[in-house]
Amino acid sequence: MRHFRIYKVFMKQYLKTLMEYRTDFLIGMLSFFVLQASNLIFISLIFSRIPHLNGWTYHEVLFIYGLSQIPRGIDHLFTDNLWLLAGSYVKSGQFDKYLLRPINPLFHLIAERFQPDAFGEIIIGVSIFAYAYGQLGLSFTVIQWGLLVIAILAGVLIYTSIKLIGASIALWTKKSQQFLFIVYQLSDFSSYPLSIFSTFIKTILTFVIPFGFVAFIPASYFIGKPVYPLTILWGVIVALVFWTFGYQVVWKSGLKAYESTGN
Amino acid sequence: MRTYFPFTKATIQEILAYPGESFLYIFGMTIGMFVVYYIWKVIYTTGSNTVLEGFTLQEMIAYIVLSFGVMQAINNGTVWNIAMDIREGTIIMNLIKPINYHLRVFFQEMGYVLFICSIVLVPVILGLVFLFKTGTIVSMLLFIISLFLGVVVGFLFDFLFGMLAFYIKNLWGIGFGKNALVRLLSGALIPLAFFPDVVQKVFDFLPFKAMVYAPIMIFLGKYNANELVGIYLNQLFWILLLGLFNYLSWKKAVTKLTVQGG
Repeated sequence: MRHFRIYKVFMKQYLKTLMEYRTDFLIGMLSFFVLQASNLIFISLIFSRIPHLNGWTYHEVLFIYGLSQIPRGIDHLFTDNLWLLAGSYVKSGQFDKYLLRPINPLFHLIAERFQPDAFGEIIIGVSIFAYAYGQLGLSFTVIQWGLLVIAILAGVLIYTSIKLIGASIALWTKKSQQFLFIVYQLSDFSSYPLSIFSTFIKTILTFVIPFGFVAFIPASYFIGKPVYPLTILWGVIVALVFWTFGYQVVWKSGLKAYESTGN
Repeated sequence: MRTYFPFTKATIQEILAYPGESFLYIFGMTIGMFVVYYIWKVIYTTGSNTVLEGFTLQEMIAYIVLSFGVMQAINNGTVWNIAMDIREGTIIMNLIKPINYHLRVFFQEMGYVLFICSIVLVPVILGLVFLFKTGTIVSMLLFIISLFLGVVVGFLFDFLFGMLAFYIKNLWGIGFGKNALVRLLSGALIPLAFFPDVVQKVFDFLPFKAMVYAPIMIFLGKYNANELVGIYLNQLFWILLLGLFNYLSWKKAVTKLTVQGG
């Protein structure tokens, strides 16, 4: 509860700056909008030439794409400061600040920044998802809607955990932005049916850097493609394992190993 | 010229001081390329088509790899550097020196372009011509001319975009949005031939085609002599027009420039 109150205070501060720079907010959102729109145009142009992509129809691919953008956007909305941790906070010595306050340093780091650019991803993601849902003639039961929410939350946690692990490396190396960038880029694969990629990539995205669980695997379940039992539960387990590993192991030993560069 | 070459050299030295970072960044960027590669590969190998919009699978792969390289050269730091100069006020240091600001930034960015050429584009085109027999030595040379013109068009466009920093604080948003826009409209994401005919007509009146699509199509030998000349003229036309826009907007902006600190 205490953390919730603190988050509200941070949020209020943030909203004040947002009101100050309204154009910037719009530009940021618009940028992600353009990126999303161009990926959609890409998919549409391809499907105007072919009936299906390795057995996946246009609307099924859209379903996966839309679903993949929702957790990506939600994570982007809340944990964008992890990029700055990886890029500059350790190197410049600014990170000391988080260790000196009487709140959890990771919570402080994350609460400090709220990234409305992410609405570009979330809005497009939800719209495509809704469109594909209608076109595929799906009708979820209450349980399925519940599972969808769980799958999305697990997806968010997977994104956040992977970002946390990538960013925490900076606690040893001072900077890990490039590394985090490479790992994050891998999520591009998860917006499309995993079955079209090579076995190597599929294995990595399922077992090493589990972006496959963010969209493709739950989407297959919701569309009604053959999947192994308890699909959504597996996603939750993967998310929890990665979060525990990221927070308890990598982040915490990173904090122990951290040496300030001076400020 | 001799005044400006040191700027090119300085950029190259900067990159070479931390080569790991640049290599990792480029490596990260190749991931997007692989996503697209696999999608096309599935399309060609599972569908009934062996030629789509005039592209064979091999030409399509060449197109994907080349457009990746050209896009890296086009997306040099121009927007970011100009925006930062304006935001931080360091631009004032350039105004009090007897050098042309546009030329300075251009030569600075050429350092990055040369770096991309030497580690990405040169190996790629040599590999395509000699190993995969896609493209010829002649088309390679014609490509290089067109690539250079395309980079200049890209630079002039970026310069105009970077000047948005006079009005907008979200520099990261500006750079990111510009990249996304250019990626789609220049043919870096998908060859422009895949767009509906009406849209392609519109592209003929935009500067983006001159940046990525046109040079690569030259490399792949898709143009006859007349079309080739037309492409070069089109690129020169955009250099002149965007150059004029830059000249006018710069003249206006400088008289209005207010630097806070610097």
